[in-house]
Amino acid sequence: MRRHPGKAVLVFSATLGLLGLVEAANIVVRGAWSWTIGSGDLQAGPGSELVGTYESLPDQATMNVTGAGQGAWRVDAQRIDSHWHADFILNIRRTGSGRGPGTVSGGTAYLTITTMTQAFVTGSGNRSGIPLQEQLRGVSVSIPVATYATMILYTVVDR
Amino acid sequence: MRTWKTLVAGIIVVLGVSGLIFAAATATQTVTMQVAAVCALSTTGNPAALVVADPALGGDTPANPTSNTTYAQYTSTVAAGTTRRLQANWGGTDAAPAGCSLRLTATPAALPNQGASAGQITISSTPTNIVTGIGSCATGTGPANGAQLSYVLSVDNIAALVAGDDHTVTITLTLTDN
Repeated sequence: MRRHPGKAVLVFSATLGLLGLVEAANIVVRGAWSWTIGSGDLQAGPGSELVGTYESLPDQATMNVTGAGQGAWRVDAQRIDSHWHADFILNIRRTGSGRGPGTVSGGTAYLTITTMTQAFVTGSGNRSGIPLQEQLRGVSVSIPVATYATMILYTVVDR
Repeated sequence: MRTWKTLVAGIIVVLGVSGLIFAAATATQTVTMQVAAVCALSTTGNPAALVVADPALGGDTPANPTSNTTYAQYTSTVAAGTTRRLQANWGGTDAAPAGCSLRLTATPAALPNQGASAGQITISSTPTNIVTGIGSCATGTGPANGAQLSYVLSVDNIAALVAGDDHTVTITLTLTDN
């Protein structure tokens, strides 16, 4: 029986392709952060400045990476502003490792989220309940009274 | 038939390999910060007593006693394009000693958004502007921070002065929206 080498390559490639389809990692982040800055945030009563830095709860948000199989992944983060003030500095960090068979590393120091994509954490396999904490800096009385909002876009990329 | 098989396999390969290389999924989180209006005001204390004393020379009109040792300190945040004002008044039953009037000048520091003096006013029961154009600012909380309050007890009619006429009044300062 004559073997057709092209057929074997085709089957191998198709298998590889299907694996690639099946093992694409997915990401879910739950938990918004909302904060009101007012008179109670004065540093020392009337005449004083507003406290400049605010932090969310250590587990304000949780991140799940699923469908990764045994594969390695990276989560990138960026800011998409709807109405934001240029003085605000938004930071995020990972305050725990979550649970699951996979691993997660990096991201334990605050990372300033900008409008440009940048790497936040890396890992492999499935990992859920990774706690995230946010920090806002740059608050002062020079920020006009208004409601400011931005969206953090997390993107999981297979490595 | 073989062509179809090749085509299907090829699509799977392309999709799969692209999945391996470019697989990316996204999630979002919303961060909302509300900067609320802050309107906080205090003073550094009470002015010294204003006492009409003997003139240096007999026959002269007594000098107007003054006190400028106190400050109004405020923190204000306003919406873009809006300002506040600082007003002063006393109660409906308050009055200066006979023959006198109580006058006040508030002088804010020449710093951004701390407002401008409205000049000297005569205190009455009607709230009157003493600083206008206050934007988003924090005057500071040091002993000489804020709008300096200069009180003058003006001797308007010496013939109406009554020895021993002693008045204690309460001045209300109000930081209010325009």
